[in-house]
Amino acid sequence: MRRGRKARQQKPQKISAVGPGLPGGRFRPLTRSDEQQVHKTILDVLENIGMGDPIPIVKEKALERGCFMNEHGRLCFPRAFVEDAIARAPKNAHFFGRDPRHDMDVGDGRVHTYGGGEAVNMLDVGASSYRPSTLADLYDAARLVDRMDNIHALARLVVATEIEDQLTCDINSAYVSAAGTLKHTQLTFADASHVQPTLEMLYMIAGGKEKFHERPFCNGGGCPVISPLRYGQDNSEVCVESIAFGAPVWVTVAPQAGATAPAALAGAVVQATAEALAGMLMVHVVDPDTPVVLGPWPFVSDLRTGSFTGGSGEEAVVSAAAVQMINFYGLPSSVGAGMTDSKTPDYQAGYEKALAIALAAQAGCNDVSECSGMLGSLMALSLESMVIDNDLLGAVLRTVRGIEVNEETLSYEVMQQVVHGEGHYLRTEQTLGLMRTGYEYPALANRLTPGEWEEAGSTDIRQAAGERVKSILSSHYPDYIDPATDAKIRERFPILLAPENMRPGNQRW
Amino acid sequence: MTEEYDDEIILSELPDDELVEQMHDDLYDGLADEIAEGTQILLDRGWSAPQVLDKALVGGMAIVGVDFRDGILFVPEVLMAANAMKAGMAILKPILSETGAKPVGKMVIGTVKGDIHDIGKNLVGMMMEGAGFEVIDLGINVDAETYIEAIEENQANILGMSALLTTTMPYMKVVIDALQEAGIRDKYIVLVGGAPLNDEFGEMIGADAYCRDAAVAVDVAKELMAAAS
Ligand code: B12
Repeated sequence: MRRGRKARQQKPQKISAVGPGLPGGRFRPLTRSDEQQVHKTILDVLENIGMGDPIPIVKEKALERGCFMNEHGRLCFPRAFVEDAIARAPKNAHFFGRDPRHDMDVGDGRVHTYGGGEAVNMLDVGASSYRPSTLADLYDAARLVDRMDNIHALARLVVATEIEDQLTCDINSAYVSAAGTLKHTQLTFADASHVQPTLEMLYMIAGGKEKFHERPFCNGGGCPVISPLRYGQDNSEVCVESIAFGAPVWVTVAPQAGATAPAALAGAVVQATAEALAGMLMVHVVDPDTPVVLGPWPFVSDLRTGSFTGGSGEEAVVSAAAVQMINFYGLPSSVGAGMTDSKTPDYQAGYEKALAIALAAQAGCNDVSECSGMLGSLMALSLESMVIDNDLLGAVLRTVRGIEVNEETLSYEVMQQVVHGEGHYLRTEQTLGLMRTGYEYPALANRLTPGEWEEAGSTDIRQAAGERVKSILSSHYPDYIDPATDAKIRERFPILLAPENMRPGNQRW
Repeated sequence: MTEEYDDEIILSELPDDELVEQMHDDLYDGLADEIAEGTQILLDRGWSAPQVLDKALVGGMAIVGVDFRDGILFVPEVLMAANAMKAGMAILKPILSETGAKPVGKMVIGTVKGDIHDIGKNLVGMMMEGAGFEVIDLGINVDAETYIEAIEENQANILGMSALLTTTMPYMKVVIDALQEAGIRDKYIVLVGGAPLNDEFGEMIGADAYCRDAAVAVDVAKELMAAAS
């Protein structure tokens, strides 16, 4: 017994009360009748207002299938066509990690938390101003995500702003992601022509084209809609080209209530959902078997200034409603949540993130995006914020897991025993059994007594977060791309992160 | 509108100073028809177009500007005011150009090639109109040729470029370099904006100014126009 416990202490097994794929969907800001009205209006929008500027291949294929151009030259989708497409569309999207432990089965209200990003600034540990983000920052973010249990996959969290050539930037971004994590990675492309060369590099990492397509550990997609209700050419092409991954395509739209979407929140939900469906239909007419993760991300404008605000109560509830609608269709969903407007990981950041992330997760969002380290209305990434968010996500996911009610958990007998026995539950079988599996423990949240806290230097969570970031990033230099392959990749592609920047002793950590 | 409210204020019955004050209120409330009517009345009473522009319209919009800055007025209200201003300008514009009076200024604006973000650009355009500028909006995804053609053809004073992506920001320099090459850089005031930009970037690419938001854009445009004349 004694030896066993010692062994456990040396090699602690991380047991968690939460994990990826918990079933959500209990929070429904719309009533059943609201859902029906929103649905009907969405069909009206797609059938009568339609979408402007479809790219040629989409227009051609859609017209072949009975869609039509209206008198304003807009592509309209008849309701029967939309309903058939929804019925026919894949309901589940399987995401592969490079390690099967990180596979994600997305769909049917199963909650995952990952992704988003493309911030252009970094808030360094302890810093009080932003600096432009670089490729090394994306690599570090990938390494950190690799170690965050509640961040289930990676996306391009920051942009390598120092790289001017966009193809080079896209390839390098994919490279440092694969070098930093074994989790699935969602990629973005400035141009459709960048998909193939990036895939070529990923094939090398996977050990061959077939190997990659057996378990495609990256996928592609984009924001193909310029709200209101118009396709954007470049990103439409990227979304269609991303079918080549043989993985789900992500399609995100972001109409801003008050500016590019109705100020009435119901209208914002209608438009965002209609646009996301239009994005899905675009991929669908080209290849109906490719799963699409629909991202109706209704954004909110601060109408005092016109600026985008991601941290409001409106943002939280309207995003949850959009998730509800995608769940109504039974399709894979994503929304942005955690897009705080605060510039630092402070109280404002905490409440704004928690509110939006909790509602989206409770609504049963398959990909609660933008929840890992974003600050400043999506303008910056903070690694301190990311490790705090990991705690936050753990707590939110615990609320998604909810309360298991059965004869055993109702605990009548345990109560009876305790009342007639020791008078407390600390030593019961039940407590021992649940203390690890039923409770989620934050790594950073301070639960010391006030006295202990003062003795420990009265630090706040940001300081603790900074320490954790430093400790992980100064030691976690994984070798996820073997040296021989790495050398070959560097021969063929202009990789701009030098090997010495990817091992201990670099100037960063 | 006036029929419904004729028991209230009849613009044509107001003496000049009260009419101007009423127009300030009407601008504040974004009443385009009333502003058009008031503008016409002042002209009919023998006011010159520049006088009407300056006292009634620009004066009124200045109040709107202050209350916007102080957070009393919201963006949609300011845009309604700008729209009312535009209605007055529509009447004044032909007279101003006929008499050779100097208009407030003309701006060509657009989001640069490769970039589709246009909310900020639209806001700047409307605010500039609210300040009396004539604005030619080229939309999104605008290349250097199109910008240059538009400023030359329209004899604009200001070129405004918007970029929200670090990947499209460098294109602003391409446009400015093209102006240089064509030997026309000094003919124009170049303003740039967009969330990822900053002062240093504006300076580095040779713009006249980077503007943080639409209100700053209006102030800077006015300043630089005044300095240029
Ligand atoms: C809304 C939005 C979108 C919408 C745009 C809708 C539209 N019609 O504009 C959609 C969803 C389409 C979109 C698409 C994309 N977006 Co976007 N988007 C935003 C977001 C959230 C808000 C922008 C906005 O409208 N703000 C409100 C307006 C009022 O503010 P503003 O634009 O800054 O304008 C003010 C000032 O800057 C200034 N100003 C602006 N222009 C000008 C011009 C002049 C002359 C002057 C004087 C002043 C001035 O005055 C304005 C008014 O006060 C920003 C994040 C952010 N916080 O800015 C990201 C952001 C800019 N987008 C980003 C990204 C990555 C993209 C995509 C590439 C995503 C993708 N992978 O597909 C695509 C781009 C496609 C393309 N080729 O352009 C990144 C930038 C990354 C980078 N490399 O720089 C940002 C920072 C967010 C993020 N972290 O992901 N986006």
